[in-house]
Amino acid sequence: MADPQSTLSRSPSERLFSALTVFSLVFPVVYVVLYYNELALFRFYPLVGELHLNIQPTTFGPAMIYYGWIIVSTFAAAVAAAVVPSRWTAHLWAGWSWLVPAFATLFTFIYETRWLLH
Amino acid sequence: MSTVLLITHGLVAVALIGAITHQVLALWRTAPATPNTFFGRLRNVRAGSYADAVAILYAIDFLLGAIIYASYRLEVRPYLENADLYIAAGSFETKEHLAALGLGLLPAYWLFWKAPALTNHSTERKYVTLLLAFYIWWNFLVGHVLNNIHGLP
Repeated sequence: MADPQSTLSRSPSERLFSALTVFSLVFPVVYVVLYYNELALFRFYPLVGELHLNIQPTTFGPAMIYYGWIIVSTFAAAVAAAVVPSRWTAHLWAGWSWLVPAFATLFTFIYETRWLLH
Repeated sequence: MSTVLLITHGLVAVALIGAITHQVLALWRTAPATPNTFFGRLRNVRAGSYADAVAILYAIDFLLGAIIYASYRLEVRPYLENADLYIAAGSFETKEHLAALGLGLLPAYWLFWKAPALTNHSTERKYVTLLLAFYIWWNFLVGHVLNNIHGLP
């Protein structure tokens, strides 16, 4: 007998709910981890308009790692949304979809108070 | 070119802030809207009809902001740091993070407004919309003040 909780037995709207909820849960977590640890997939040097995987000399100007954070967070959230079975998220409280980003927001404000210490 | 993009970024933000403000006021009202008053008309809208516009405008504005961010990094942030305007610089860092968090929130936002089988998630819809509205207002105000301090060349 087929498992009624299997992914195949779920309606498209349930699978959509699962995928989009997982995306919005994973994205802020990955993004905060990346920026807190300053993890860079690549660096963009706007002065010379070049992408590099490694840190370049100061003659290249300031490096930007924001674009890498966005790409990695989006990719990680999309992969999680695609692979996490909807049966795992069937009993997930929908409120996490705003509470997790809200915590990430609070963390961001606390973390950025470092600018006040200059 | 940066100036054109910045003005477009600002104009899209104005449309976005209008749409999300209508939506939040309509969604969070605790009493029926009073007809024939400014706030009554502001609140008396079909909030769901703004969801697609908010999602699309947010994505467009994020993209425009990401493009001109490079000019900010080269021209504005060094000025802020040299002028010891660290609160302004830090506010912009927060703006950049909230813009990203808003991007991650968009799928949930769209889901709670548009997925027909989920109409019973009214509480989640209210909080997701309020959070997105906070991001949009914060980013609009910080961007506006920063541009007053030192605009893009």
